[in-house]
Amino acid sequence: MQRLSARVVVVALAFSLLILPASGQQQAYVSPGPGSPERYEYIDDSYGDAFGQAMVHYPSWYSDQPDWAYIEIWSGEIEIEIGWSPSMGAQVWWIYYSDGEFIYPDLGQMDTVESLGLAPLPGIPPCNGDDCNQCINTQLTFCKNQAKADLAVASAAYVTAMGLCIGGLVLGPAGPGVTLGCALAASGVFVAAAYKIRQTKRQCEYDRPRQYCHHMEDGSPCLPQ
Amino acid sequence: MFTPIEPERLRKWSLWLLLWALIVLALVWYWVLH
Repeated sequence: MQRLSARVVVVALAFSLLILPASGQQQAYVSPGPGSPERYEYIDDSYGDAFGQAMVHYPSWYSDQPDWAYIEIWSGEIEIEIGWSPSMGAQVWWIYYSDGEFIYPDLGQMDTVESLGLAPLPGIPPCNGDDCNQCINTQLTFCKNQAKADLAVASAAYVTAMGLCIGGLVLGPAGPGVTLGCALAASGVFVAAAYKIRQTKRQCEYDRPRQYCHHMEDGSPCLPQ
Repeated sequence: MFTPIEPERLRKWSLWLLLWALIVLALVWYWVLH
Protein backbone atom coordinates (compact mmCIF):
# COMPACT_ATOMS: atom_id res chain seq x y z
CA MET A 1 0.00 0.00 0.00
CA GLN A 2 2.86 2.27 0.86
CA ARG A 3 4.41 1.59 -2.54
CA LEU A 4 1.10 2.31 -4.22
CA SER A 5 0.85 5.61 -2.43
CA ALA A 6 4.36 6.54 -3.45
CA ARG A 7 3.43 5.74 -7.04
CA VAL A 8 0.42 8.01 -6.81
CA VAL A 9 2.63 10.83 -5.61
CA VAL A 10 5.18 10.21 -8.33
CA VAL A 11 2.48 10.11 -10.98
CA ALA A 12 1.03 13.34 -9.64
CA LEU A 13 4.37 15.05 -9.75
CA ALA A 14 5.23 13.74 -13.18
CA PHE A 15 1.85 14.81 -14.44
CA SER A 16 2.24 18.31 -13.11
CA LEU A 17 5.79 18.59 -14.35
CA LEU A 18 4.88 17.46 -17.83
CA ILE A 19 1.55 19.08 -18.35
CA LEU A 20 1.88 22.44 -16.66
CA PRO A 21 4.91 23.76 -18.51
CA ALA A 22 3.46 22.53 -21.77
CA SER A 23 0.33 24.52 -21.16
CA GLY A 24 2.33 27.72 -21.10
CA GLN A 25 3.78 26.98 -24.50
CA GLN A 26 0.53 26.89 -26.38
CA GLN A 27 1.13 30.06 -28.29
CA ALA A 28 -0.44 29.81 -31.66
CA TYR A 29 -0.86 33.52 -31.77
CA VAL A 30 1.39 34.96 -34.41
CA SER A 31 -0.36 35.40 -37.65
CA PRO A 32 0.32 38.40 -39.83
CA GLY A 33 -3.37 38.54 -40.42
CA PRO A 34 -5.36 39.96 -43.26
CA GLY A 35 -3.41 41.98 -45.74
CA SER A 36 -0.55 39.66 -46.40
CA PRO A 37 -0.62 39.28 -50.14
CA GLU A 38 -0.59 35.80 -51.51
CA ARG A 39 0.00 36.70 -55.12
CA TYR A 40 1.66 39.60 -56.80
CA GLU A 41 1.54 41.10 -60.20
CA TYR A 42 3.58 43.88 -61.63
CA ILE A 43 1.40 45.76 -64.04
CA ASP A 44 3.50 48.70 -65.00
CA ASP A 45 7.23 48.70 -65.25
CA SER A 46 7.54 51.67 -67.51
CA TYR A 47 9.94 53.44 -65.20
CA GLY A 48 12.38 50.60 -64.74
CA ASP A 49 12.88 48.34 -61.77
CA ALA A 50 12.92 51.01 -59.15
CA PHE A 51 9.81 52.88 -60.19
CA GLY A 52 6.41 51.94 -61.27
CA GLN A 53 3.09 50.73 -60.08
CA ALA A 54 1.95 47.43 -58.82
CA MET A 55 -1.16 45.72 -57.69
CA VAL A 56 -1.24 43.11 -54.99
CA HIS A 57 -3.76 40.42 -54.66
CA TYR A 58 -5.11 39.63 -51.25
CA PRO A 59 -5.79 36.16 -49.91
CA SER A 60 -9.01 34.50 -50.88
CA TRP A 61 -10.03 34.07 -47.26
CA TYR A 62 -10.40 37.81 -47.23
CA SER A 63 -12.77 37.66 -50.13
CA ASP A 64 -15.45 39.88 -48.68
CA GLN A 65 -13.12 42.80 -49.28
CA PRO A 66 -11.73 44.17 -52.52
CA ASP A 67 -9.17 41.89 -53.98
CA TRP A 68 -6.63 44.37 -55.11
CA ALA A 69 -4.72 47.21 -53.60
CA TYR A 70 -2.74 49.81 -55.39
CA ILE A 71 0.93 50.40 -54.75
CA GLU A 72 3.15 53.06 -56.11
CA ILE A 73 6.88 52.61 -56.00
CA TRP A 74 8.68 55.89 -55.69
CA SER A 75 12.35 55.12 -55.83
CA GLY A 76 15.04 52.78 -54.74
CA GLU A 77 14.16 49.53 -53.12
CA ILE A 78 12.42 50.52 -49.95
CA GLU A 79 10.88 53.88 -50.63
CA ILE A 80 7.40 52.68 -51.31
CA GLU A 81 4.06 54.22 -50.88
CA ILE A 82 1.67 51.67 -49.59
CA GLY A 83 -1.72 51.58 -51.15
CA TRP A 84 -4.64 51.15 -48.84
CA SER A 85 -7.96 49.83 -49.70
CA PRO A 86 -10.26 52.10 -47.68
CA SER A 87 -12.45 49.36 -46.31
CA MET A 88 -9.57 47.02 -45.74
CA GLY A 89 -7.16 48.86 -43.54
CA ALA A 90 -4.63 46.21 -44.30
CA GLN A 91 -0.97 46.66 -44.76
CA VAL A 92 1.01 45.34 -47.65
CA TRP A 93 4.06 43.55 -46.43
CA TRP A 94 5.82 42.48 -49.56
CA ILE A 95 5.91 43.67 -53.10
CA TYR A 96 6.93 41.55 -55.96
CA TYR A 97 9.75 43.16 -57.86
CA SER A 98 9.91 43.05 -61.60
CA ASP A 99 13.19 41.20 -61.65
CA GLY A 100 11.75 38.40 -59.58
CA GLU A 101 12.87 39.50 -56.14
CA PHE A 102 10.84 40.59 -53.20
CA ILE A 103 11.38 43.99 -51.75
CA TYR A 104 10.29 45.08 -48.36
CA PRO A 105 8.36 48.13 -47.42
CA ASP A 106 10.26 49.89 -44.69
CA LEU A 107 7.53 49.79 -42.12
CA GLY A 108 9.32 47.98 -39.39
CA GLN A 109 7.43 44.74 -39.73
CA MET A 110 8.69 42.20 -42.19
CA ASP A 111 6.94 39.05 -41.14
CA THR A 112 4.51 37.44 -43.47
CA VAL A 113 2.53 34.28 -43.47
CA GLU A 114 5.15 32.82 -45.74
CA SER A 115 8.23 33.91 -43.84
CA LEU A 116 6.83 32.71 -40.55
CA GLY A 117 5.62 29.48 -42.06
CA LEU A 118 2.21 29.96 -40.52
CA ALA A 119 -1.25 29.54 -41.82
CA PRO A 120 -3.60 32.46 -41.34
CA LEU A 121 -5.76 32.07 -38.30
CA PRO A 122 -9.43 32.32 -39.14
CA GLY A 123 -11.64 34.41 -36.97
CA ILE A 124 -9.17 37.12 -36.11
CA PRO A 125 -10.86 40.35 -37.02
CA PRO A 126 -8.91 42.66 -39.26
CA CYS A 127 -7.89 45.84 -37.58
CA ASN A 128 -9.15 49.03 -38.97
CA GLY A 129 -6.39 51.55 -39.26
CA ASP A 130 -8.69 54.52 -38.93
CA ASP A 131 -9.46 53.76 -35.30
CA CYS A 132 -6.24 52.99 -33.58
CA ASN A 133 -7.59 52.75 -30.06
CA GLN A 134 -10.23 50.26 -31.05
CA CYS A 135 -7.67 48.28 -32.97
CA ILE A 136 -5.27 48.22 -30.03
CA ASN A 137 -8.03 47.18 -27.64
CA THR A 138 -9.00 44.35 -29.97
CA GLN A 139 -5.45 43.08 -29.94
CA LEU A 140 -5.08 43.43 -26.19
CA THR A 141 -8.30 41.50 -25.71
CA PHE A 142 -6.97 38.80 -27.98
CA CYS A 143 -3.83 38.51 -25.84
CA LYS A 144 -5.89 38.35 -22.67
CA ASN A 145 -8.19 35.70 -24.03
CA GLN A 146 -5.25 33.63 -25.11
CA ALA A 147 -3.71 33.91 -21.65
CA LYS A 148 -7.05 32.87 -20.18
CA ALA A 149 -7.18 29.79 -22.38
CA ASP A 150 -3.61 28.81 -21.48
CA LEU A 151 -4.30 29.44 -17.84
CA ALA A 152 -7.42 27.31 -17.95
CA VAL A 153 -5.40 24.37 -19.24
CA ALA A 154 -2.71 24.90 -16.63
CA SER A 155 -5.31 25.23 -13.90
CA ALA A 156 -7.00 22.01 -14.93
CA ALA A 157 -3.67 20.22 -14.74
CA TYR A 158 -2.93 21.81 -11.38
CA VAL A 159 -6.28 20.81 -9.93
CA THR A 160 -5.72 17.28 -11.19
CA ALA A 161 -2.26 17.14 -9.67
CA MET A 162 -3.55 18.43 -6.34
CA GLY A 163 -6.33 15.88 -6.49
CA LEU A 164 -3.76 13.16 -6.92
CA CYS A 165 -1.75 14.52 -4.00
CA ILE A 166 -4.79 14.48 -1.78
CA GLY A 167 -5.75 11.10 -3.17
CA GLY A 168 -2.40 9.77 -2.07
CA LEU A 169 -3.20 10.91 1.44
CA VAL A 170 -6.74 9.61 1.51
CA LEU A 171 -6.30 6.32 -0.29
CA GLY A 172 -2.84 5.39 0.81
CA PRO A 173 -0.39 5.93 3.60
CA ALA A 174 1.36 8.82 1.97
CA GLY A 175 1.36 10.78 5.19
CA PRO A 176 0.97 14.50 5.62
CA GLY A 177 4.64 15.20 4.91
CA VAL A 178 4.70 13.52 1.53
CA THR A 179 1.35 15.00 0.62
CA LEU A 180 2.52 18.45 1.57
CA GLY A 181 5.64 18.03 -0.56
CA CYS A 182 3.53 16.86 -3.45
CA ALA A 183 1.20 19.84 -3.12
CA LEU A 184 4.07 22.30 -2.89
CA ALA A 185 5.77 20.82 -5.94
CA ALA A 186 2.56 20.94 -7.97
CA SER A 187 1.98 24.52 -6.87
CA GLY A 188 5.52 25.51 -7.77
CA VAL A 189 5.20 24.06 -11.25
CA PHE A 190 1.84 25.75 -11.68
CA VAL A 191 3.26 29.12 -10.70
CA ALA A 192 6.17 28.60 -13.09
CA ALA A 193 3.75 27.80 -15.90
CA ALA A 194 1.70 30.87 -15.00
CA TYR A 195 4.85 32.98 -15.13
CA LYS A 196 5.50 31.81 -18.67
CA ILE A 197 1.91 32.51 -19.66
CA ARG A 198 2.21 35.99 -18.19
CA GLN A 199 5.41 36.67 -20.09
CA THR A 200 3.77 35.46 -23.29
CA LYS A 201 0.80 37.72 -22.68
CA ARG A 202 3.01 40.74 -22.12
CA GLN A 203 4.99 40.02 -25.25
CA CYS A 204 1.76 39.59 -27.16
CA GLU A 205 0.51 42.93 -25.82
CA TYR A 206 3.66 44.54 -27.08
CA ASP A 207 3.82 42.83 -30.47
CA ARG A 208 0.31 42.62 -31.74
CA PRO A 209 -0.72 46.29 -31.76
CA ARG A 210 2.48 47.04 -33.63
CA GLN A 211 1.83 44.21 -36.05
CA TYR A 212 -1.80 44.82 -36.77
CA CYS A 213 -2.68 48.41 -36.05
CA HIS A 214 -1.52 51.14 -38.37
CA HIS A 215 -2.67 54.61 -39.16
CA MET A 216 -4.54 54.90 -42.40
CA GLU A 217 -2.75 58.06 -43.41
CA ASP A 218 0.87 57.05 -43.42
CA GLY A 219 0.94 53.41 -42.39
CA SER A 220 2.80 54.15 -39.17
CA PRO A 221 2.00 51.84 -36.27
CA CYS A 222 -0.56 52.85 -33.66
CA LEU A 223 1.31 52.76 -30.40
CA PRO A 224 -0.49 52.03 -27.12
CA GLN A 225 -0.74 55.07 -24.89
CA MET B 1 4.18 -0.59 8.63
CA PHE B 2 2.26 2.63 8.65
CA THR B 3 -0.16 4.02 11.13
CA PRO B 4 -3.45 4.99 9.48
CA ILE B 5 -4.15 8.66 9.81
CA GLU B 6 -7.16 9.47 11.93
CA PRO B 7 -10.26 10.42 9.91
CA GLU B 8 -10.59 13.79 11.60
CA ARG B 9 -6.97 14.68 10.88
CA LEU B 10 -7.33 13.40 7.33
CA ARG B 11 -10.34 15.61 6.77
CA LYS B 12 -8.48 18.63 8.11
CA TRP B 13 -5.48 18.01 5.90
CA SER B 14 -7.64 17.56 2.83
CA LEU B 15 -9.54 20.75 3.53
CA TRP B 16 -6.35 22.72 4.09
CA LEU B 17 -4.90 21.44 0.84
CA LEU B 18 -8.06 22.29 -1.05
CA LEU B 19 -8.05 25.74 0.47
CA TRP B 20 -4.40 26.12 -0.46
CA ALA B 21 -5.13 25.12 -4.06
CA LEU B 22 -8.00 27.58 -4.30
CA ILE B 23 -5.86 30.43 -2.94
CA VAL B 24 -3.03 29.61 -5.35
CA LEU B 25 -5.46 29.48 -8.26
CA ALA B 26 -7.09 32.79 -7.38
CA LEU B 27 -3.79 34.60 -6.85
CA VAL B 28 -2.27 33.25 -10.04
CA TRP B 29 -5.29 34.13 -12.18
CA TYR B 30 -5.30 37.64 -10.79
CA TRP B 31 -1.55 37.99 -11.25
CA VAL B 32 -1.54 36.82 -14.85
CA LEU B 33 -4.59 38.66 -16.11
CA HIS B 34 -4.14 42.02 -14.36
